[in-house]
Amino acid sequence: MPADSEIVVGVARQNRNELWRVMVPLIIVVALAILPLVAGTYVGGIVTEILVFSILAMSLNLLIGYTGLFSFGHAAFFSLGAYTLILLNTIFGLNAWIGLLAGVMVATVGAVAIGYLCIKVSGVSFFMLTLAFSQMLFSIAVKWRDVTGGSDGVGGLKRPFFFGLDMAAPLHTYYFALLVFLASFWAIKRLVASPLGHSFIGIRENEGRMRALGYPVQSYKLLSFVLGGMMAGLGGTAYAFLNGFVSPDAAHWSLSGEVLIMVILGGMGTLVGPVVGAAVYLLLKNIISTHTDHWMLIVGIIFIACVLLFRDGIYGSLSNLLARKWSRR
Amino acid sequence: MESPLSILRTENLTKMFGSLIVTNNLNLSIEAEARHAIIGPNGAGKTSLLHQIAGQLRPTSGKIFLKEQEITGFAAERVCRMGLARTFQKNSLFLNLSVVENVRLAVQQKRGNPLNPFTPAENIAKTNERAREVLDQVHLGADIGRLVRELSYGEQRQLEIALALASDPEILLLDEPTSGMSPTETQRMVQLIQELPRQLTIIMIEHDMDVVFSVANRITVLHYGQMLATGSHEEITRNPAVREVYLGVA
Repeated sequence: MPADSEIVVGVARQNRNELWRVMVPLIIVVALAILPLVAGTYVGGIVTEILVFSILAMSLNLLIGYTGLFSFGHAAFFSLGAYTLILLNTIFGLNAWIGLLAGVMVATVGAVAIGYLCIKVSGVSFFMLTLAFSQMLFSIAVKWRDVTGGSDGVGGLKRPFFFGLDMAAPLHTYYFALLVFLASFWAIKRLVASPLGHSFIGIRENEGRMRALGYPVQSYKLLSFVLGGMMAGLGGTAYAFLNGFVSPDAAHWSLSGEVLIMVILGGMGTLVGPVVGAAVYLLLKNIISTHTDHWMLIVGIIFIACVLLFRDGIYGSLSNLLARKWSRR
Repeated sequence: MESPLSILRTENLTKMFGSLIVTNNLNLSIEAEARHAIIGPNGAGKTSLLHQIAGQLRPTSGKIFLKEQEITGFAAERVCRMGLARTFQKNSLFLNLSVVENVRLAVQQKRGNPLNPFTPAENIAKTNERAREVLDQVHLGADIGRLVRELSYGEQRQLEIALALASDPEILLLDEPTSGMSPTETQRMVQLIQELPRQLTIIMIEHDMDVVFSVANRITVLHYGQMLATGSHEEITRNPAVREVYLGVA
């Protein structure tokens, strides 16, 4: 039986935890909202990039972190979204807002088709098969010159107005990226706490037992793959919307690899990890590449060090550390 | 030969791994509401038989009927949804989740909506209440918030049963529920099994004869994949063939 004072202290600590749980996200959102106003266009541009790639990293995290599906072809859906938006706009003159929706839809359909074939295998075969499909899209983007512009890519997106706001202005694109990012983050947060999210986690933890509990595991894997592909498509269309341009790099395996690094670096299977990973990776890339062409070498060394030092990723390890500290007090 | 009450039966069931026969032309019939133990020396094909019934392993030939419907070669998830749940000889749990989260996964599949992508699972009263009910049934009601990897081995064995019970089965397959347990833990497990509802059909593989005799009312002895004998406790202990190969008495 704890003494009364201990109970009071316990309640106070709980309230303080609750307070932090509300305050920390609020502070971050407010900081992100005022950032471009105080930090200028250059920093705003980098953060825009981080927000967009965070969406892609969060979507991959749904597969590898929550469902245990190690995909190495996630760029496929990013590029499907990006190309759909740009091509529909530049060739058919379709409004870019509708193009955004179309991009997400095409990526989703692509994820159904590719996912249906890939989930038939698992482990290394799954990894290689997803890679093969995304490289197939890459070769289409390079070879179908008449439509995709080959390795030069296509540009010239006509950005629409949003209630009189010119979406070509960097400040407005920043807020657009922020909104899409926050919506995606919120959707993932709801998803992983829901029964469906728990079903995905169950498959990651113990596929055989999930089958014995009556779950049609293959269908759930496909569903996770499609949801991840859909969100990657959203990231891709947002990326194309911001840059007004897309090239085959968006489908290249190196992008799939970069996103994988972001997720592992930040901490897979955590909500915030992929965002931290995307931020750290892109900041390192931006800062180091202004000093040396061999930035990959340095980022690689940092990546190796992080994986060795923080086994659950930067965010994962830090939050574990904090949790242990809290419980000890 | 089959009694009309048979809830599960196999017809000439055979499973071969290459030239090794693990289930040999087996005709097994389990009555509804029975407490049926399957015993036999190591390598008699007991677990392989369970795997075939529950859908983890596809038989080479022969048929399996559940409630007079053929289920031969059905996938595990389908067999489970038809009312047959099982436990595993080697714990097969969700180690990084909490106790209640483990059971909730089973409950939401049967009684909830596992496709709900939006409502926080811990706020859904119906599945949480049912999960608590099942955990009380296996004496883990006080441990709902603990991580499964932090439970003792015996508690994990209890959770094995909770996961199976949470699927609301009519037939429960227990694969060596007391394997690796201390005498105290074994005693607790026997009590737990005895407390299970009478209308639940239980098929149990077990090595500990004390457990078998205190739980089962019918016993089948397997030997090299073949049925040596089926009958009551009395009939089995008196059967000369069983005494020879299993109890080791000539």
